[in-house]
Amino acid sequence: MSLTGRPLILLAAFTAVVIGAATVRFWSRGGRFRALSRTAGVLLLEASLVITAGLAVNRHEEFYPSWQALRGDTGTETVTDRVHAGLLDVHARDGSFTWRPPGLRAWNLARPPTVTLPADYHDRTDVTFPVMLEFATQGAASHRTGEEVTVTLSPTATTSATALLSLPAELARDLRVSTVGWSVEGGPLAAAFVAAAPPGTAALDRPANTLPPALAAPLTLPAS
Amino acid sequence: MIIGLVAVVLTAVAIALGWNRVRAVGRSGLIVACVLSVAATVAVQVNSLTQAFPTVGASLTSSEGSRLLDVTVPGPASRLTLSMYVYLPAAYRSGVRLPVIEALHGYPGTPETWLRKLRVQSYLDKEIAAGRMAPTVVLFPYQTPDRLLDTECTNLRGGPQTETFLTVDVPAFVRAHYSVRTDRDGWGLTGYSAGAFCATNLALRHPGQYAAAASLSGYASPGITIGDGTENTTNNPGWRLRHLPQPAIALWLGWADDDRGAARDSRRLAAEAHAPLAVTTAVVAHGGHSSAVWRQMEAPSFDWLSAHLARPAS
Repeated sequence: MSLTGRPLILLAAFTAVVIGAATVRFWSRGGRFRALSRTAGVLLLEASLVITAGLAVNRHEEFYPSWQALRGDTGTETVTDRVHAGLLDVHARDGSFTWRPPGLRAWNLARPPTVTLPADYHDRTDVTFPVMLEFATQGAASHRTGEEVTVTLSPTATTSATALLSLPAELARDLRVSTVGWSVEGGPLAAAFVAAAPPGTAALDRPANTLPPALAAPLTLPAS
Repeated sequence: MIIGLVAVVLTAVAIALGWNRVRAVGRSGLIVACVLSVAATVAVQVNSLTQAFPTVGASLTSSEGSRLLDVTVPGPASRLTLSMYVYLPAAYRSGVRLPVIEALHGYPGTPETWLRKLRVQSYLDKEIAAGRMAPTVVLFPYQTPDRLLDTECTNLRGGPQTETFLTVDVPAFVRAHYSVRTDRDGWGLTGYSAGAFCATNLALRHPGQYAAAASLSGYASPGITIGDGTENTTNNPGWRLRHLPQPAIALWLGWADDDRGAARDSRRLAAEAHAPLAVTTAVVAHGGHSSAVWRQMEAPSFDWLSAHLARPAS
């Protein structure tokens, strides 16, 4: 029987009526156990009335839609995500290195990107690092702080933001990096990349000290 | 609660033994005593569930080294002066500016619901110790001067200016007294039930102050009358997403699949969202609108919030 269904509420109400009627009917009976039977009748009547009212309120407010919910059973497991080791984790040197991912040619860059790792990248194997994506422009200084993975691109006239949308997935495959909250710097192409990327992936010219922290894999629940 | 149950039994015994010994007035008194004892016991149990009128202060320290402070926040802008709990992680120390999360309670409820029913200090300690969450200062402000007045964190016409308290007075107080980040990227919101509506609504209304918000079984509208009609417009996240430019913030929307109201509203909000607003959803199968659901959502939502807020800064 459903916890919020009318049948259960009606049953509880009917029970209360029966108990009330029986308590009144047998109020003057019971002989030497009369005090006991009266007390039991009153207590049962009170309990059945409270249960009836509670069921009615629960039906209206839907606090506990099922017996399962009443028991506190959510029927769902919280899952600990895993931090996947990057394909380049073992080979990547400390400091900077030239990155040549499979999709490099499609990006039409002047030269392969340069990746700079945080000093503690190889020591903290259980975390993903925030990312700063820099489009190298003449005279522009890097704003990296050394706590993030920095990817420096040298775009050409044929480099497009749309083609670069594959970069986050390529980087996440090769290194332990966060997939949200990137900072992207470097003029119109950077702005176009931020606009084209899925919401939350990147923000334009986000100061490096406002990037998210390097974190262990989160606990997650199923998405809708 | 035990005292209440004893009173219920005693009044039942009294009515059983005394019924034949007194007349109409006495019998009426016995019946009234019975009804009052039952009503009081039910009220105590409901209060225990909601913590609407907590009686004992929260613990101040945990075995993990975090602290929970009970402070009073004067509100020059809102003209409200309300209590607030401040969670300081074990790593809190002067000189490192930590991100901040304002955690909002449901209605009826108080910050004590977070602390007792939802055991938030324990969850925060665990997530931070595991490295899934950065050390963060978490605030648990009261949201109304009258425990029985549901403000939904809005500025009620002719009533408490709760939105101003939460978005102006509380941040100003915390920035003045604690070592926290002062920029928008370091501030987030969370809440359960009515507090979840509050988190979503305040984040959408103040994207210059909050970068992210988590909603645990929230709604798309306040469900109260604010007094100026904005419950149907600018204080209605559903309306805002349909009619106003969406801000560049991140929302985490969680609900139980059998919690029909919150599930319907959260799905509606997720469907209305588009860039630059980023939405992440999370669903548990059962549990309704209950603390069991919110306890399960706490750690994932705090982890998510931390990943969407700025890191601690030297």
